[in-house]
Amino acid sequence: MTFKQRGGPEYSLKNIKKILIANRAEMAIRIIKTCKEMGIETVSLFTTIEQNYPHAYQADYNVSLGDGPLSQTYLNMDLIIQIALQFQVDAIHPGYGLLSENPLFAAKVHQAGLLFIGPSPQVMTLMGSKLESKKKMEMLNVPLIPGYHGDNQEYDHLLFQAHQIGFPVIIKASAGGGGKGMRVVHQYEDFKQALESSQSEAMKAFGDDVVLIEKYIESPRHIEVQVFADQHSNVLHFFERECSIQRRHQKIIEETPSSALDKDLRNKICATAVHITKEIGYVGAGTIEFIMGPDKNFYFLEMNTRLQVEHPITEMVTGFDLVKLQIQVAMGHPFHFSQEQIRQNGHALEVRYYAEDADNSFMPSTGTVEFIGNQGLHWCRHDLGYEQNNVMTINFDPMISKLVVWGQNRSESIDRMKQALKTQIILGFKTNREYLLRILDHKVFRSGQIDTHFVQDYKEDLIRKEDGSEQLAQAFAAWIVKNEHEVHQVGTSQTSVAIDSKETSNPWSKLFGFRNV
Amino acid sequence: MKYQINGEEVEIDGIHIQQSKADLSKRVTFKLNGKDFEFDVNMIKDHEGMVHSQGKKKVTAFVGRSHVIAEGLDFFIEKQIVNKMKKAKDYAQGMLSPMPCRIFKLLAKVGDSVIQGQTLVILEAMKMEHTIKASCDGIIKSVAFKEGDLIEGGVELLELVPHQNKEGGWLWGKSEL
Repeated sequence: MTFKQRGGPEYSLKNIKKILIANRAEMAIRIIKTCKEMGIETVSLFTTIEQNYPHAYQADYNVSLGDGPLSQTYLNMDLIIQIALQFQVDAIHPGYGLLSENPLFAAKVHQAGLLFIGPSPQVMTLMGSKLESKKKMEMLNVPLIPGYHGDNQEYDHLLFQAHQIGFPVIIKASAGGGGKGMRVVHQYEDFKQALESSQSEAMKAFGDDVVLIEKYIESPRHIEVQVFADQHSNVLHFFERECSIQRRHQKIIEETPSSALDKDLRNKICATAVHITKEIGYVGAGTIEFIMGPDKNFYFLEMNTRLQVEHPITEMVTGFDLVKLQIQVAMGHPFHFSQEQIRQNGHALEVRYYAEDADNSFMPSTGTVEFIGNQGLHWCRHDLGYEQNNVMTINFDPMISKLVVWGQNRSESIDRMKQALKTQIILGFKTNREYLLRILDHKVFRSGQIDTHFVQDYKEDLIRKEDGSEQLAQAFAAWIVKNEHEVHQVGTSQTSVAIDSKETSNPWSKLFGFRNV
Repeated sequence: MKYQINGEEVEIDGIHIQQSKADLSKRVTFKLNGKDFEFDVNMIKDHEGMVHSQGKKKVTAFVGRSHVIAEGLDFFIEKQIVNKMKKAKDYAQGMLSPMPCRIFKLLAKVGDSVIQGQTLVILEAMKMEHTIKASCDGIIKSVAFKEGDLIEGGVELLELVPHQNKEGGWLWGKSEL
């Protein structure tokens, strides 16, 4: 079908009536939500152990991928495309992680005659390689962190380059992120071991041990820009996000706007991001990540050629639905608004709930979700991928959900997030919930003077305080009443037996909250 | 009676729970580490309750089988001391798994003589590797799992028996002299 906007050129649209979501948990739920709104049918995928997870039943069609390692399920390109064709979908949405930045998958989707909601395989390949993307940035005069990202991977050469850059340096795996294959080296003596360790970890995680070496920036801030391009060469930005609060190089708290930027710096960094997006011929949603030093110089880090986990905070301050835009762009719509119509309103914060023991080296935790708090909070959004009675296992990413709040300013957002973390709780096993509260309470976090070393630098401050006996008693009182059966003891003179009231069987005694009128 | 709250041993005795005649709440009294406590607890929903104590602001609590969130703080309560998660030094000597994981590689077998610091097992959880190293020189007496097994945290991986008479100089198993 063809369309013509008044005064504009004709353009044709591909109709998307059905989408297969090649993802799981909260990202799959996220896509399902927008598709329902748009009247688009959805096909979701799940594995046997996820049978009672929400994404296994919330789509219009839900297909089991069976059992097995990720390579046979969510990373099984041929199986996924086979299912897509079987269900006659129009497009595949890859979400984030998994196959979202896999150019081979994107190419296979195209070959199968389906739309891939994302950029072209060529651009994915270019920006997916740390080495290649940096070479391109050099050509575009985009500032880069002093470093070596060449092909010569000989030990002597890498050491020479490290000396050239000047210690401290950081060694990174060219093929991937998430902190894997990353090592910081402060002095020459530690270089050999750090390099070997990095290469080994990179080979296991990504199947590729090519590394690059960069200058290590002290007090760096992680600032990223949300960009979007349609199929008519229009490129827009949706402003920045700051993601400096990280543990083990994984983001745990994100916010927008960033207190590191003033109006001019914001314009400069967003314009740079738009410039890059235009020059590489990008289509769809993308994020350009920068590192900013205390001197306010920013350097290109990498581009993520997909929608990001933390996209909700951008949605909260700009009012746009980024998944909807992705689908509209994939259909061929040009943007129906201009850059000036995108505004930052207020402040949004996101925290990531992880199933881990933050007080014990962030060791992963497992267990059953007993209850998820869901008090009505009008400025709060909880993107969940799990629900009551779901079992959290180690088979997948430990992220349970994202809690997002909006406030008029940063201070209000922080206060609101603290409240949200006390009501939108996840009960049943250890999470980082309390740890996040400690970060939000920290005076340095509140001041906004944060950088990516925050979690390490203030490690001591963020340790759990010892419980007072009053607090222990309160918790115990609640626990013993709910778990009364724990009290019944046979043959022990020390312990009292709970008095089981006959009145609990009387329905009139269950009346609670009624008044006499 | 001993309870474990957040990994710490707590002595709680004289637990007495009485149903209130006026409403759904229950009066709980007990002695915790020698101190007397009295609360009115109202479980208004399956997992949500309120804890009132005389003269103090009420505390909202979310309550599960062992997990309690009271006033925003996490508590994990168990009746006996289960001790599934021992301290770090116990891991080292007992060769326990520190977390739920998969046995990626077993680098030692029964009868092997190993030296302190030697990598014995590589564990994998969520694409990250963790190595278990020998805490002392010794000989592997038994291995509880095989490669590929999925295990819980705090589980004994293998038994390492220290060599006797290090100074005396005799070794079991393979001779390294």
